[in-house]
Amino acid sequence: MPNRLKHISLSLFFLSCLITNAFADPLKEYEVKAAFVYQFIKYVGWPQNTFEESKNRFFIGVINGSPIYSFLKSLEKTPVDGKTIVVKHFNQLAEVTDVHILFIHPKIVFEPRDLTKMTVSQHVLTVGETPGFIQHGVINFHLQDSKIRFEINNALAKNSGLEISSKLLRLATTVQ
Amino acid sequence: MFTRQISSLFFIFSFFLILSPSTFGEEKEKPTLLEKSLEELMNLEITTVGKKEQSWFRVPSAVAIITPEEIKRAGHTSYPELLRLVPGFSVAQIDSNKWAVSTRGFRDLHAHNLLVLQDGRSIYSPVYGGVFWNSQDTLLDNIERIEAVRGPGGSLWGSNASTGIVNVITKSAKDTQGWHFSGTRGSEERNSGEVRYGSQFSSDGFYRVNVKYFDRDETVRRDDSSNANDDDWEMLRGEARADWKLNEQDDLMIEAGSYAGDGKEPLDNVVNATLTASEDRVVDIDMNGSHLLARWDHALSDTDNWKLQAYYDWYRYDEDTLLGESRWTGDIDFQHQLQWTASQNVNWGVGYRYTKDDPINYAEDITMTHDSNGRGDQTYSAFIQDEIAVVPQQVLFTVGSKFEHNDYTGFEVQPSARLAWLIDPNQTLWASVGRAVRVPSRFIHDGTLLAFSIPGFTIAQVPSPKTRSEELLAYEIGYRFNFMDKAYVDATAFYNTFTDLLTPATGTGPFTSNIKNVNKTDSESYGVELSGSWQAKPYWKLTANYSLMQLFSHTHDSVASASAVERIVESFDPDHQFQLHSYWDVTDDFSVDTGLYYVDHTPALIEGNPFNTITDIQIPHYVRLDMRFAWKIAQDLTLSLVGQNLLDKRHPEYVRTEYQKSEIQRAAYAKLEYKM
Repeated sequence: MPNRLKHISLSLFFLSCLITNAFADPLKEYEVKAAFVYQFIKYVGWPQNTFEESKNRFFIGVINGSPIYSFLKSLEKTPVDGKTIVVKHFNQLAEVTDVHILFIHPKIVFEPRDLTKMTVSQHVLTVGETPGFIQHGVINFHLQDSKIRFEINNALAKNSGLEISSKLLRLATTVQ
Repeated sequence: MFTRQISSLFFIFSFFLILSPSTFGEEKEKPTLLEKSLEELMNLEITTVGKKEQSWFRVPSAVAIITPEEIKRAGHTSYPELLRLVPGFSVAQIDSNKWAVSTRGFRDLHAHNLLVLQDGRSIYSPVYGGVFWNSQDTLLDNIERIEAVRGPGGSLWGSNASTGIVNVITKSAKDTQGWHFSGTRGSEERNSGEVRYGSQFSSDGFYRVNVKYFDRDETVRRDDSSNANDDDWEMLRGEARADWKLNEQDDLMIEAGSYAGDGKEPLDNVVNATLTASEDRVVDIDMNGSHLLARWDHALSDTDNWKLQAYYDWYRYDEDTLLGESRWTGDIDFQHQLQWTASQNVNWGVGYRYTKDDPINYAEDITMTHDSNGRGDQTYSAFIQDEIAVVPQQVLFTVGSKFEHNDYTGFEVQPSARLAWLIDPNQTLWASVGRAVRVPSRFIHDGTLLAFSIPGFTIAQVPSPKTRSEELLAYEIGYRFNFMDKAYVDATAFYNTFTDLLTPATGTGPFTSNIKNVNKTDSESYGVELSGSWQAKPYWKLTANYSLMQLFSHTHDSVASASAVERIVESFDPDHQFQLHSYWDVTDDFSVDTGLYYVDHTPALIEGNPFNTITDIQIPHYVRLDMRFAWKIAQDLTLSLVGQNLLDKRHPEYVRTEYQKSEIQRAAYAKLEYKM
């Protein structure tokens, strides 16, 4: 094998470093779920006073370092409906305050009643990904044939002052 | 010497070039996903390890999947080394470019009972009945997963899959977009470089191209000298793949590859054919090949689909005077899966293969019948399999068979039956019984090997055209347990009975000792394979596996030296093997991975000199420790440092003849990987 071939492949190596390009990584579950959350913002209505208080910022809370945290963080660069997204991190449910959306990782332990109480009193769109979450949360993610689907608890949403557009309701797999 | 300096310079140069401002100046955008509508998001297919593990959990056969994470973190750089990770697989490195790989017995340079595929394309040599491991490779980052099944897959994949099947599945071009560079330097992995580029040619069409070059070091001699073995190895390979989603129902895939490489094999004290002298020889190996594969997947409904695949493969393997083969193969396969009734899921298929070899390159001392134009062989095959839900979602009974007609043994039937009891979402119990065959290789059927000849006396292997297939009846039982999605245990026990195994038997005739191969050996083997995984902490995962294998061989007394033949076959494999792996994410940017392997001693009896004596080699047990440290130096740039065989300066793993005396050394390498 001529040494020339060795050199050619190595030259190709460093020459190609000069060219840059950016393409998407293989689609990860939480990357796509974060994109869904971004869309939810557009199709859900919050009580008007919540935005007056937050000075036109949109708060997304994540409890205890779910894999979605870093993907949600990158949403901070992209405003939606004229509002900037700010991602907040909490260690437990009791600490949560002043958020519009709250993302709850399957490993979090909480009293279902506490979650519902917080949802209603603070007008939070609670999002989970565990079977049964829909009993006390507003939106629940699940997988069907490697594709992401979601359920909506519209009754709880209404009780919390959240108005979910019919488009979102139509795309949900079950609506309570 | 000079070239080493140049390559080091290039490596260092590229390293600094990568770090230059131009490559990091641009801000990475998060493209397309946020621009997608809700409906588009709902159509995206995502990969979760969970799903694959879930379906693997329910399969009624001894399947192990080597995941991309393990491929990245175990530190192995070739297919045979990666197969060490599979419980029940026995891998022994022979020299720098050769391995003996098998499962459940008969571990040999060409383990003819193991069928190996890449993306459904056979990479098994029908002449010698084995895999030329030194010719097969791809970018490690191109591998989606490696599926390794122990036990007969006769019903789905066909003959010569009796003790096991390996399928190396590569990623879709969609999953390998952008640039990928990798460079390696080390003591055994002397130099290696990879470049890959993937892009789209339409909204639903993706492609990639890659080039890989490596140069690997020699091993050392078995005697006490520290002389290098002269068995180094280099390879250059280019590959391309395109995946295209034509519409909702149709997916097309085309892939092609080409390689050229050379290696060496050192042989000590080889007696020449006239028994007049012995010498040390270094045999040159030249390998090259190309292939083209296309596949069309069509979804008929949510539950029904069919698949059509065709490939063309050509290769040449030239080991100077020892063995050689040049072959082209054309294969076409059709498979259809349908939910026939509410409780029956049927899978059936048909296939045709034509393979022809070139007569010129066999070897100095080998001649074959049908030589003048080479031999073309046709194989017609069909299979059918029905999965019956005896109790819906709980008890599944799968029965099926493969039917085949080949040009050596005629018509073969390989049926199997499997039962899976999905006790609850966390437990599966399964059992299976199946028949598989191994068709005699072309070498056994048609080959004359001149071992040595002096005036008036010849010892040669002669063609054995009347041989039948070797038969295996396999019984397996397995249990899997999942504990809170944090830990799982997988246990399998098997019992195999082999009949009509090919045995060399000396023929009759004055002044000749013609060896014919006859179907006069029966064997049984049994064993257990245990594996487990435990996510001890979110950042620390432990895996372990253990296997036990015992084989007993019985050669008919009419065969000369029957008891010697029995003892030799029983001595190929170690009884016990054990592994422990730790994957520790110390921080977000730094990880430490450890692999500890124990391989029991192997008696390794071999035929000695003079003919018909046995030499007892006794390869001692060994403990192997591998470690990998990886740093994420910057976004998309990773540096890893791997040490292999850290506990042992050198050790032998395999001896099959008195001429092979290599030992495997302690090694280390550094790898730099960059993706864009």
